[in-house]
Amino acid sequence: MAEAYKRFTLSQRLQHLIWFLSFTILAVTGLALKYPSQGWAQFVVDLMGGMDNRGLLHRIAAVVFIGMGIAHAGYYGLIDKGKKAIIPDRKDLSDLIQDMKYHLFLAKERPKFGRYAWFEKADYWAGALGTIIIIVTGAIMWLSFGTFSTGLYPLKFLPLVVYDWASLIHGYEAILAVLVVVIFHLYTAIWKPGTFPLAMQIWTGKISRKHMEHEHPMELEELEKMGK
Amino acid sequence: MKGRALILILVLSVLQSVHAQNVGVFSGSNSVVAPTNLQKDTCYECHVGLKDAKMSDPAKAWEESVHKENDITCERCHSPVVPSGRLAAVGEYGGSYRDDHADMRLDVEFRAPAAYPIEGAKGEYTLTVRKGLNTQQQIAMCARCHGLSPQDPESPNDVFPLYKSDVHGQAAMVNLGNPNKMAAMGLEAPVSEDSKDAAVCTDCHDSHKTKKAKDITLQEKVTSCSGGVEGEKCHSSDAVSEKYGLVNAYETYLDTHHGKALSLGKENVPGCSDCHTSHSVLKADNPEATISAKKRADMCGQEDCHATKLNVALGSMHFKDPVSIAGVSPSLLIKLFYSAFIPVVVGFFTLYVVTDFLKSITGRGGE
Repeated sequence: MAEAYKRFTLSQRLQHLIWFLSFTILAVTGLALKYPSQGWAQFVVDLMGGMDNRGLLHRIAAVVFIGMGIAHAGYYGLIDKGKKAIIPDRKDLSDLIQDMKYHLFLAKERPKFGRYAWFEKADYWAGALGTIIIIVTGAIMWLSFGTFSTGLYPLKFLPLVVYDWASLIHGYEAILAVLVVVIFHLYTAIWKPGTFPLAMQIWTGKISRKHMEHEHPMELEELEKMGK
Repeated sequence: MKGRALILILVLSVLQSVHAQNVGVFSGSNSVVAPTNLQKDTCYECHVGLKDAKMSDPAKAWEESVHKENDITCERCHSPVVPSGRLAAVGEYGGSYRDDHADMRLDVEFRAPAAYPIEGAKGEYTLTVRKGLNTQQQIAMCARCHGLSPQDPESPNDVFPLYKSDVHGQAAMVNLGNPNKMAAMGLEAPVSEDSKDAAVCTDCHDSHKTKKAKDITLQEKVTSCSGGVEGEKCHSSDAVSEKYGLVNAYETYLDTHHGKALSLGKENVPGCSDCHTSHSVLKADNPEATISAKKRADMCGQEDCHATKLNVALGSMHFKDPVSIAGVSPSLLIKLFYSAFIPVVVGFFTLYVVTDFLKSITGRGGE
């Protein structure tokens, strides 16, 4: 009986680290522009050495974030053809209902989760959808007024109002992403009793047996059946 | 005893003299002992030393003005509005000094400063200080030099002819006081009752710290259009905006990338006058306006700006969505959707986190 199990590969941990860093920079530099009248926004811009540097940093982080997203989707969509535990199934819906009943004191038993619980899948897929929206709208804003030095100006053909809509959606998606990460993702990674001060599995790649018993009992059962 | 009486007489004489100098009382029917400061040659020299900041601040502000650079002194604006622009000469030394600002007029006897020789005057004249001017008087005062019978050939004389045809100038040409007098000055007849809303020269250029357009900072330009630092006036007022069928230009400008960048200290972004012009402001539906659908693309595509002609006809820099789907603008739909969607998603996860935390710490869900 193992005391710890491997949960994330080195590649997955590196992907998380790169997303964590680029997301944080994107959020800070982006929200400073979204809420310019806030004192902290001016502090952030001053810290970066002005608006031009803020914009440059936001774009560099965006390139890293998008690049990581393309590599991730490309690898798991085209190269790794194995069964994906992150794909939602019917059990996730029943787990969601049962889990909410449990949390609202309407049921005594919490559903047993496999490798990924319904909320982890929701976190992943909602994040993926939000990422696509934010990349598309961000690209519209970035490229509309001149696509690098190619001489292409999409706004010669697209009306300016498209830029306005993209700007609105980009901002709202950013707010939603930051709120979900701060409220939910950081709760599960830091504040959840039994996890505090930090869930180490995404950094070390290993998860304790105790944690497996509590959070992923079905996966543990499968691993034990396989003699691991 | 005789010595004490002499000392008392001397003290009383000194006190009377000091009092006379301080309040400017008459010492005779035809001569005046003016306050010491009034013996100075110019308004500036007196005002700049006064303790009352309300009186000295304008003089100090003038020190930094373009008018000071060009020797345009107080008298030029505060003297009576006369087409020649010269101070009204009254001839012989005499007249009166009234320390009475209540009616905003101060008739003062002055020595004619050597720097301002008055033709026909015998060395002294009466100066009528003008304050509390109405909208038209303010415009006329500046217009005397800046385009209306210009006194100073070096001043920018194209300003008034432009201004009087733009939306602010048109709105200001109201209640011109004496219509005959204003007509004689080349000012047009009143067209509406909106003159109090109209921006006049000093709203943007300041009345005393008067600046050249190129010296007005981007932030100052935008602040001027929003009615000053106190806000909620001019183009930052919903009431004024609604009255003229406009969006709240200040609020919506600050919501654009240009406005946000300005708020965060970027200086090479356009302020109001960069797109709307300073003295030829026209409504967007006027084909001659720089912001008209016809001309907007050229304006945004200037070499210093976006450097190419863009498709900006269907759009607005003030987030006024020109598109409508079944009577509702997509921008509004986007705002409504996220205003509902974000609280639902965040509320759901907050509920989950709170209940999970409670379950965990009460031992009913912990490890």
